[in-house]
Amino acid sequence: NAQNRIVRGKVTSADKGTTLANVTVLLKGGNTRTTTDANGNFSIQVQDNKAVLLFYLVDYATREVPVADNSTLEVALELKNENLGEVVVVGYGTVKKSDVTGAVVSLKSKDLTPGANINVEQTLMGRASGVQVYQKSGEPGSAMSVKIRGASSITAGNDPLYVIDGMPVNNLSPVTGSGAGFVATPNPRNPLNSLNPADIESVEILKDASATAIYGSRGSNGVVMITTKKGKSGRLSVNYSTYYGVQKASNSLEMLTGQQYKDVLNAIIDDGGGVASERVTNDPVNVDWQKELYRSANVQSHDLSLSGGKDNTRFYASLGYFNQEGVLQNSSVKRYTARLNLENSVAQKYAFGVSFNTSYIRDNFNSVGIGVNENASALYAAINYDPSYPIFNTDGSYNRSPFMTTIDHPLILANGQYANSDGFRTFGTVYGEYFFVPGFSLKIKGSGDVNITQRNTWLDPSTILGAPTGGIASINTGNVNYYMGEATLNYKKEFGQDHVINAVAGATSEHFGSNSFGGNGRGYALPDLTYNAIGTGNSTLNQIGSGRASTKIISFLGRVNYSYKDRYLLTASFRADGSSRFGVNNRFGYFPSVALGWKMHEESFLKGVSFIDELKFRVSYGVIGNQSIANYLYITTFSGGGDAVFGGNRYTSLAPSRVANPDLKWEAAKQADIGIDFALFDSRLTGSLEYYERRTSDLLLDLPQPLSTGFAVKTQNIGRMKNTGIDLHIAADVLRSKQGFNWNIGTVLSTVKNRVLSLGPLKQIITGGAGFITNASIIKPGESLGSYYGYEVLGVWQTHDDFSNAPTGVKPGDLKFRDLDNNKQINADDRVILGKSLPDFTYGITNTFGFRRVSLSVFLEGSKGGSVLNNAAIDSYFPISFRRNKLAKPYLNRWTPENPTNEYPSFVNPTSQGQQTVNSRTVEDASYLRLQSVRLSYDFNLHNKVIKGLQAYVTGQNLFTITKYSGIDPAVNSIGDDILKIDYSSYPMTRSFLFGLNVQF
Amino acid sequence: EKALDVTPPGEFAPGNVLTTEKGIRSVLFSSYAGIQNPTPTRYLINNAEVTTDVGYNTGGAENLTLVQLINFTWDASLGTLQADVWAPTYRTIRDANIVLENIGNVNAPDASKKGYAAEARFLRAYGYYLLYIWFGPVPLRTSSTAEATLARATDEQMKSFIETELAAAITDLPDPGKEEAFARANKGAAWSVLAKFYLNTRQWQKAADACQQVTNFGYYQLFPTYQNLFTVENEGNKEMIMVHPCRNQDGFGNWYSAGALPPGFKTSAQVPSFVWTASMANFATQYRMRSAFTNTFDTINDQRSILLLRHYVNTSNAWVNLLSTPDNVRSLKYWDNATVGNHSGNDVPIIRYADILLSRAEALNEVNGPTQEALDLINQVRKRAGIGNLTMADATGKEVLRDLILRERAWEFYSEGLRREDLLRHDKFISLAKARGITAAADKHKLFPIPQTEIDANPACKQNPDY
Repeated sequence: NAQNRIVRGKVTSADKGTTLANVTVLLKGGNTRTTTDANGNFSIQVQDNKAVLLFYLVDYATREVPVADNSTLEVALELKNENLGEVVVVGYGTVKKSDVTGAVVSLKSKDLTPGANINVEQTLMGRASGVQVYQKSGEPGSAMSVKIRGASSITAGNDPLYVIDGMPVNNLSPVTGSGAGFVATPNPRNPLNSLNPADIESVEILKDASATAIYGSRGSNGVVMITTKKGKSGRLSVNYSTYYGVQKASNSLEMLTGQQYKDVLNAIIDDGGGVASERVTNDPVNVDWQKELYRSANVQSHDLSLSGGKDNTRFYASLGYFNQEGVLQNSSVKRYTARLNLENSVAQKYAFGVSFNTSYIRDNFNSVGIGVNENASALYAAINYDPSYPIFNTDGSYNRSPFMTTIDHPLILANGQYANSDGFRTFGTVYGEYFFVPGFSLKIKGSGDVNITQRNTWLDPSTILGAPTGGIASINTGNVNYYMGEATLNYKKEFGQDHVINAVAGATSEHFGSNSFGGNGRGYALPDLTYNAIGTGNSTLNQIGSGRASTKIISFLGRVNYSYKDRYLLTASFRADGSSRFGVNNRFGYFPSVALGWKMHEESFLKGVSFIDELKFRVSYGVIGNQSIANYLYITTFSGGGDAVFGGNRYTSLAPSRVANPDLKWEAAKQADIGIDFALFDSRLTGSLEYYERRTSDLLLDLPQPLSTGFAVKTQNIGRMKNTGIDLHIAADVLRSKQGFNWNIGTVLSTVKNRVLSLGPLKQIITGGAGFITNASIIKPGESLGSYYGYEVLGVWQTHDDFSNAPTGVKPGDLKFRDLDNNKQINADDRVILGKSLPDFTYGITNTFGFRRVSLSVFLEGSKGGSVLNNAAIDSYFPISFRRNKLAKPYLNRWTPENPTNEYPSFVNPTSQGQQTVNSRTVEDASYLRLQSVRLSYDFNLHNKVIKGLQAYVTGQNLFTITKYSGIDPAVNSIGDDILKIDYSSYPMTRSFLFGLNVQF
Repeated sequence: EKALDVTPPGEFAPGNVLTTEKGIRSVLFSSYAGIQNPTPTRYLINNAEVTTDVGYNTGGAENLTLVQLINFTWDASLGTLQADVWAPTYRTIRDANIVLENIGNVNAPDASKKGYAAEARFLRAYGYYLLYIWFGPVPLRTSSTAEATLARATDEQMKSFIETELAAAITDLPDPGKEEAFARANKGAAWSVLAKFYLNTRQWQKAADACQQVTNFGYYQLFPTYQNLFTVENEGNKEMIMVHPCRNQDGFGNWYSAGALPPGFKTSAQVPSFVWTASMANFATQYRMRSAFTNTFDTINDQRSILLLRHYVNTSNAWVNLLSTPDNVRSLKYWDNATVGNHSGNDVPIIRYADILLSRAEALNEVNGPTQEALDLINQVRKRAGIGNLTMADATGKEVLRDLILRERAWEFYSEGLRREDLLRHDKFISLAKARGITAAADKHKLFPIPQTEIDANPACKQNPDY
């Protein structure tokens, strides 16, 4: 019966010729299905000669085979080509790369920056267009600054949403307190350190509204989708990767040596500055305090992974160990990770699996905060400490300079003030998918994430801060937890030849929780046991505290992808988010988006153009949100106020927590995007160019309140901001020689132009600072966020200048500031905008050279047009105290009547005009070009039964930097701010050399 | 929607706080905490003294601020005006308003409720008095729900509010010594604030009468030895009518000594009982006293000069003469052997009984010219200091006595932050600055500018003239 016949066949692997088991064979347009047996054989009933069979197997390209008159079929499946038919992970699903309509950067593990990377963010630097990544400090494991298409918010967060295997990540730190007396580092450790970069298969960065609107209220800063490695069917594959390296501080500040210090300071006293009693009279030694704190530090990493699969089951399991010492004494991070990804599936029938990650991280912290004087960090002390006295007394004890009463000896600080933390984080997802019919499935997913941390802090009695109290010990513990349940319906159907619909609809419920507890003790008779015996101090001085908070989000989402003639693409998505962070008036927010794509190269008029392989236009528009604000801002409550003191005793008090705003709602960003993707000349030249405009309105702004209300701020939906920019990505195979020589250049360039459009009723907000610096920046309509606000230095007052219009008391050798209002006073009215922290553009250039088994990769990255405020310069221009050490260059070249320079003042009376700390000399250009990494690798040609592959490599990181910036590094930011940059005794960047091996068994 | 309702697990619901006695009391204590202001008192002192003929400063981070005050180049962006005066005082006012608005609903005996209300009323009125002295009339907030944008009151409204509210508070406040604990408000404190308010607004007869009311309690008296008046051991003595209470703990410390100690201070023959230890901070900044002031002291007889350090032994055991550098004498008024780091435990006086005595003398002189009654009041203070009486022969006229009183007040109250208001009252604030060579000094400086943040956020609030 021709209407109902049996077709038999065999499925093989196209490249190896081996038979393939467990291939799903499906009758197109029907429900009939079967799978191949262990020998790759199948049989299936078909109705007529028009029947088409579909062959599915994980890792292989799906094939459609018409039955025609055949009664037996030989079908060969090809392994998925890495580029053709590549699948891109997007929110709640995947799409074929060629069908992407949004602005999405897809990076495979091989595209990530190599080197000693503890977290995924470090691997993204300069790799993805539209993503601005910089390392704020060289401290091991410290947080990076990651912005997707710039900052979209002023006071709500600017970090992208991270999604690991479909689970949105709650990136709150479990412990926020730093410990009593210990000035916290404003760049805390990155919570993403829990995810081992070696486990990452791909990273997709969703940039435009069409891609991110499916994450609704958390989409406006972009989304980073991280997919971990999955097992592949076939034999067990064992992989061992390791590297070992040495790191050094890449730079240090050039301070006065002991002899220079004596000469210059005494000369300034001779010229009428300082006080006679502060004259340097000792026979100076030359101590380089920064050098005393730095060390050569090791880093090593070991990763072992096993993957494989049989029948319907595949797994990937890994163990990782990472240990990085910091170049500053007593700072390090050590991490142990384990992962298991397990999946059981039959294509178009069912799938279930788990993805599970656990980690233990031990962090050691030196004090690197932005404290001043007795609260200063060891690095601050190193920059400021008297270099003329020996480090040690003759008896071996530390020698404090008698002129440094408020700053502690740098080595006493480095060894006597420290903290460490133990962090345990486990997260994972369990999912199941059931296909009612092929192309229509229900997927249920549950995720959880628990991050538990204990932080211990100790201030030894040998330090200035620890001495009065007999040592201070603190323990802070906390946990951050997250639970999510998600159900989605997925539908994919082709209608005729021309129409393909792919749709998803679902609902999610998420819970975010946090708990914390902290206590500290003082007055230890014996300080030997530090925080390990926190209760052995003076019990009357003990302090404790706790906190607890929770947030919920309930969401409904949907998306339709429609493709017509595989040429015209439409994507429309919608999400409704309800959050407990907002009052009942505005609890739900709605986030729609739409995108259109046109695959021009599929049009007949381009079919004949041989050099065009791909040419795709796309436009998108959508509304996305931001809800990164504190909890409970809409509720009036009371919480602990300052203690009152009566009769010498303290009494606790309660004060209103905030000005509640019941009308609070989402910060909404409307983003439009236009882009073109191209592949030319046999795909030797590929790339994409995108232009976007994002307008954020209803900014969640901590609007300064009249302080006369008793409150400093009220969070309100006020103000507007705009980001525009271009993302460019070009890759070129410059050479593909038959002799085996290849040269590939990859370039990314991202521009961002930020403009504040409105601050509602406010004309401007002057804010930002660190240590003694206050009001360093201005937020003002028409200007960029992170604009530095201060005084313009015109030069130095010279002996023969006309002093008739000079500010009172100015002498030759003093800095000449621009007196805008000509009132003969340099005061707040004379401030102007001196630059902005946000660069005009950032870029990365990767050159990869391959010759047979040798590969050389050279990666440059850079930034142009941004500024940074240099606190070391401020401390030298406006010294807190005469005897503190100073930067060598300005002081050795200072103005004197014999050296009438316009560059540097005389420093005789540096504060005579007040303290214009933020000025055009201390705000410096932070543009740079950096040779970020060079990697040379060799693949051994092995024909070994045990070892299947062996690669050895050397990597050099941060090899040189070209910059005009005079401070320690143009990229640093010591204040933990996302936008404003201040170099404040920054932890130096490191230069490292690694040797590594990858072995496959 | 319901599923999204959360209650903050770590915060208190208004219902519980504002209807219970313990709750409302806690809010009242927050109101106190605002003006007790222990750690920033050094700014309250310095701001009111480096602008005058008494105080001076060099070095350290605090000099960033103080040099502007010394040179009369300050403007509305000066942080201390906002952080140490404006903001904390308005927090006191905010919490006092909350207490007064809700006290009627509190489940407590009427007597307690009246007492709490009177304390809140007193705190609010004192807060406005303080703001008035520093800034002139300010936005007068008497309700916690008032619009954020609020114009400044008129001078008349301001004065009338302070006067009537203090008077109203006095009725229900306890007598001196009957308050629950020292530093809680009592009738004596309220009369004293009223007296100082009348004095500084030159309502002389009312000032004299209010001072007399304080004396009439029969409770207050001068502490016998000036040198020990400010020590931690003698806190709460009967001369201290109102103080900023301090403890040698983080957040509650008096930091004045850390700034006043000269470099490497170890000990001094002047105050041998004070011995510096490694546990005590010695700031980079130097709080100094002007020679033009310290040179006027009778250092042989006047006990008050003992606490003005003229020489010391440093940690290298060298003897250092502070007089060899101009304007370099230090005030050790707040020395505390139990100082922990920056934190000394000495309370900083706001109003002492000596102030009440001298204030009444000054008011009487303004009303009647020199009288024996006025001189007797002054002589009580001089006697305790160990110097001879003023006689009618010294006080040859109203203006002469006025100057003598002003001089006496400098000797008596240095490092207590009263000099600015004293000079303003005597109309010498600007003229003395000019005499010191500060050409920038102008009439506008008689008031500090409203902090710029307030002007920016509250468009109805207009800046003081010429700022």
